[in-house]
Amino acid sequence: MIPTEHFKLNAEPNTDLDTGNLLPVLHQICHATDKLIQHNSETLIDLNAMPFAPGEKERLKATLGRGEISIQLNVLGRSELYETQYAGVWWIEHYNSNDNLMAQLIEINWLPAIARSQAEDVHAGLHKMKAFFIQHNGDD
Amino acid sequence: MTTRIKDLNTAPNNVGKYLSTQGISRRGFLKFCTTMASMMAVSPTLLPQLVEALENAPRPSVIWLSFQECTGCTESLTRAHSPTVEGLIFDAISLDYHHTLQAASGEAAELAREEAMKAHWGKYLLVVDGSIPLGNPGFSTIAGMSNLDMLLEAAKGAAAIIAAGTCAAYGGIPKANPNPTGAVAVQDLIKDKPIINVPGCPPIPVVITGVLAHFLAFGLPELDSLGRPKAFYGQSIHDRCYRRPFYERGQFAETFDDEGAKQGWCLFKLGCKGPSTYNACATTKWNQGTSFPIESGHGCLGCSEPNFWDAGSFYKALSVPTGDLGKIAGYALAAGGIAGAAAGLLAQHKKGQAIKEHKIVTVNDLEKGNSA
Repeated sequence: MIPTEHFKLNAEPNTDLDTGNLLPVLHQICHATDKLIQHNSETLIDLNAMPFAPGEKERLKATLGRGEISIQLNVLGRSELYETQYAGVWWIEHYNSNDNLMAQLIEINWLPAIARSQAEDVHAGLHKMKAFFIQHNGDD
Repeated sequence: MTTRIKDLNTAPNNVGKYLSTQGISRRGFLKFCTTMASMMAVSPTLLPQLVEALENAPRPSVIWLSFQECTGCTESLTRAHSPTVEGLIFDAISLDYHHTLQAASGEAAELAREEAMKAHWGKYLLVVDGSIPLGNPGFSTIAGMSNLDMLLEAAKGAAAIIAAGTCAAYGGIPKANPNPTGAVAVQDLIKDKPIINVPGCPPIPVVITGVLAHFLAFGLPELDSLGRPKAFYGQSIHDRCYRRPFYERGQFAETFDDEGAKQGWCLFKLGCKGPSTYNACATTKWNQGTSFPIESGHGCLGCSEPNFWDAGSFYKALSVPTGDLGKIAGYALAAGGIAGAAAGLLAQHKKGQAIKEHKIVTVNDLEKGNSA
């Protein structure tokens, strides 16, 4: 479990605009990381579901920082996923095809669920490959 | 149009399979569901259930009737109309009649409505925007049919009705004093069908799509005493406003250009109706999540509440019991149901207190007169 003292709120507010929601979210991330390790159980936090003052999400983002890996999905618009400096804590942003931000989430998981190959897509891909070989053999 | 309806009947009849035939990958479907869950304000822990429910949900026929309205509700819904992830909800339904959006007009359009009603009798979803004039049937007609007759006829075969916008939900601006057309809301006329009110002038686009997604996945949502889905209208603007800490500290803007306004202080004294208004603006926001009126420096008008237009000046302050919410800490924990186990217990306690202390404010009861 990440000790809460480890979170360095290095982007301190320079304004009175502060809902005070940052610390509870960081606490939740701590507990969720512990849960991932202890029970192999993932957590998804929807950042759109709670109020943040202008600039607060940026402070949260800065506090979590960036880690070693970034993933870009290109499906129904782009999605940006990256591991924060805290392994297992992923920052996820889903955009639509107009490049409007539609959802902003933190997923505490070994790998974000959406990044894994999906069984249905794998089946479809295999079917397509087999069809290719049938076609190829047919041409021969 | 008959052919089109026939085609729709032979298309896969559940959402998952239909989207798959449209080339949407499973990963795309997951993204769609994640975005929908966020829009619907459902707990992320319910995402797997949402995925399963949406995948297997039947594609409902939707008939959309527009009565005494300004087309703002349709405009809100279609403002960013392009094949976007949230727009997929319109692939998940079969919109069989919407006289503003459909290509057909005149008799062909009306025939489409009648055929869709006949083909899906008892199962279609009826969406209504605009109020219904009772003063004279001629005040508002479609193809020579009064709004009242069309509503009564279409409501008979509907599984449920969504009253989209404040006009359909509560009468809205057409009903404002002196109500020259005798405008009434859908719920004033239809008593034997489930009605979901989605008020707002206009409603937040993602709230409309979120309600549709909820209906598809889980059926009728839980409603508040005014018939609104609690997922979106369960908390007041004030409860979710990022300026709430200033209210708790007693820091108010007194004019729109004073130092308080520049510092982003609470707009309560400038007439903000946030404390008495239940809607999702403060979290969902507008214009692709850019901001909402209070963030732009203007108080909430209370447009998702009944009779908002007749509720006195937009610039006259309400009087609201404050309670001791423990200033910022208490406020921060208002989101604690989501924000984690440690904060959660205390949050529930504070939130319960806050709800008890924050009675719904009616303008007649609580206006401060001219003191603001």
